[in-house]
Amino acid sequence: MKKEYILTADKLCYYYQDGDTIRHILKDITFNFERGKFYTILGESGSGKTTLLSLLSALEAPKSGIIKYENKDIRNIGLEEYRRNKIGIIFQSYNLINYMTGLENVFVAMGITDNSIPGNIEVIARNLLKFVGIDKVKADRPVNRLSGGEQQRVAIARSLSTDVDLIFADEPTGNLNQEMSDEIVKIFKELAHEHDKCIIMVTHSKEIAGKSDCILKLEKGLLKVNE
Amino acid sequence: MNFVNRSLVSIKKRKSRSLILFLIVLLICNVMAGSISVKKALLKTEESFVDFIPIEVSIQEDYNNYIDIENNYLTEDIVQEIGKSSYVKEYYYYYSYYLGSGELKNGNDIVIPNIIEEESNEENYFTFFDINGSYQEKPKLVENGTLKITSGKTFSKDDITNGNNVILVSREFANKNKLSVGDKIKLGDEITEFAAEISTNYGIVEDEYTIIGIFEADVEYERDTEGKIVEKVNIYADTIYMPNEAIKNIHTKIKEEREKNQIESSYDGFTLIVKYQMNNINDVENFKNDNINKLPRNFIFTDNSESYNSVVGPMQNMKDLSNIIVYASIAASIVIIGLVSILFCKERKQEMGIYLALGEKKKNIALQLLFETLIVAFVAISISIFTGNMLARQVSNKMLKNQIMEQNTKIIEQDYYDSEVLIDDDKVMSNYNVSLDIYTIFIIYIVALGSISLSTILPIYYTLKLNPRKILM
Repeated sequence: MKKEYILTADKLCYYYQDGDTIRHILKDITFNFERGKFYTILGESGSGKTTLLSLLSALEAPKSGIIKYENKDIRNIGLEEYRRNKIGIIFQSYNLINYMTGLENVFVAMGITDNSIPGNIEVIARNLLKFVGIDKVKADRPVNRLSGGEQQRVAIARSLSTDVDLIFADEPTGNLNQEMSDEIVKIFKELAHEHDKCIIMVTHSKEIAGKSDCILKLEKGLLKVNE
Repeated sequence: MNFVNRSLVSIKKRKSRSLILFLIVLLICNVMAGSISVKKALLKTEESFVDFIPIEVSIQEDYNNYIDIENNYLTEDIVQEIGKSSYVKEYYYYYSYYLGSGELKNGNDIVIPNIIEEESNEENYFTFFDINGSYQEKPKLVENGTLKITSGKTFSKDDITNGNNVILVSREFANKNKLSVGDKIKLGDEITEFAAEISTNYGIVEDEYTIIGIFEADVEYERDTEGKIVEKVNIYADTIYMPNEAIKNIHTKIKEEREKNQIESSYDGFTLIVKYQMNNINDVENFKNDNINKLPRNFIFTDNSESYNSVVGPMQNMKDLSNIIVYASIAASIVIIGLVSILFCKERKQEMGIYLALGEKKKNIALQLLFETLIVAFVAISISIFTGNMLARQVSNKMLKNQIMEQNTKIIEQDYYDSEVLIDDDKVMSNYNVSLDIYTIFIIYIVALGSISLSTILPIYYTLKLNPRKILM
């Protein structure tokens, strides 16, 4: 029986024009991502890790190649709808709306997605925040008064609030200390292994990458797999 | 949290930005609302001018292009036929003549241009009076309240139909001549043939008339060089009213006597005065064009649009100014609020990127920005409607008074005695009222919200063109 993949990258290419020369960032990237696995994309600075993540999360369009979600071209799903209903994105700099509380940030995502988790939205949002380690007091605090680690937890709760199975994380531990980084990685592993989510995380840390189920190494625009 | 809730949270939590936007909108909308209120008030005042300064078209003989033709008269039938025109709000007509007496004195001491001047104080010379007819029981000026019957009564239906010799005289005239209701006076004309060497007098043709009413008029027209009233003068003091038919009778008698004595007939002052009141100043030319062919040869239409325009002129200046201010404030709101919104959007670039990354529909992001601006603007506009109206009332009252004063000075410099075209500032100001009605409020909301909505087009376009990857990664 043919295996069902949650996400497929098929011959993805990305380049940009630099004066008269064309700089190839990604060359024929092909890979299948499975549910219940925690992937890391590892590479040096400028290797194209973030570009690959932005293509997979439909924040940028590839120059060539196809991205399929559950075997469906994401262009057919609609890039906006794909971001709204199929994926969650966690950024290195958290990207929370800073004049809102943690709870309100989660509400924003819940208001945008068409996937509503059944039940009282406040109860759901508080439970998600609690799951990532944010208690009621902190949830009601404006996010700019939370620590970096706490903000990243809110960002994770926000990505989970849309009830998606695919979560992208762009260097989520980049601004955090070791202890916090370990906590975040622990949450990702739990989400993958206990909640059957597919987590794709970009990192430049070999140590963090070592904790994932599958390391995808980007070198000179090519992808090498270490399982 | 949908885009409406996000707008409300943003307004509530980004207080300083909301306050800046509020103050800018308040300032611009005060000017906008004020100008719209002033314009509306001016339009209303102008409309009321049609009632207290009627736009009238008259029929007069064309002395400049006069051709001598037999039986070329303006008749009441022609007047009535023209009066059926749809441009006519109402009309009235009366015969005007002058009759004199060797015994009666003028009611006014002051010489007023439209009163036939006493020729001399020597004995046996006639004092002439304006005789105005009426085809209705209440002469027009009694009907519109200019003249008030303070003793006696006005004409009866029988007086009008049969042309009874009954008259209405002014209080001034009655007092000067020690007359009261019920007294009889004789009025007529001398039948005189004027020759180069010697004039021949063939006697007097006169009739006896009974005073049935005495009227008073509160008309103030004597002004100084600045247009201020210095003395009360009743310009109707030497006008005597009688039924049209009575005027026609005495005129026929005088005319027959002249013909009997073979005195060459010339202009004798017997005129049919016609006033057609137009619905609108713009109807004047159309009315004239439609009816010019109905007039007998040698007759033309004249109108008072010049006097009307001299009164409306100051208001037109104010209207032009308020138009300019409205357009300028619309332009200012689009530019200033647009620029401020772009600055705010740049500051919120990251937030917009987050919405885009979360897959929010661009339409909803645009609506959120529009909604945020409009909520703040709505509050500011609601306040400006009242504050702007108050400010406009103070400023425009002074401006309009100054404009009227300037116009009066101009009129006086041109022709001091043409007092009828002087603007009664008290009358204009009492009709000028910068007030709020539902329609004005509606117009202010539409104009202000419309221009503010336009101002958000550029910021929204800027936001929707953002690349979330470049902002967030």
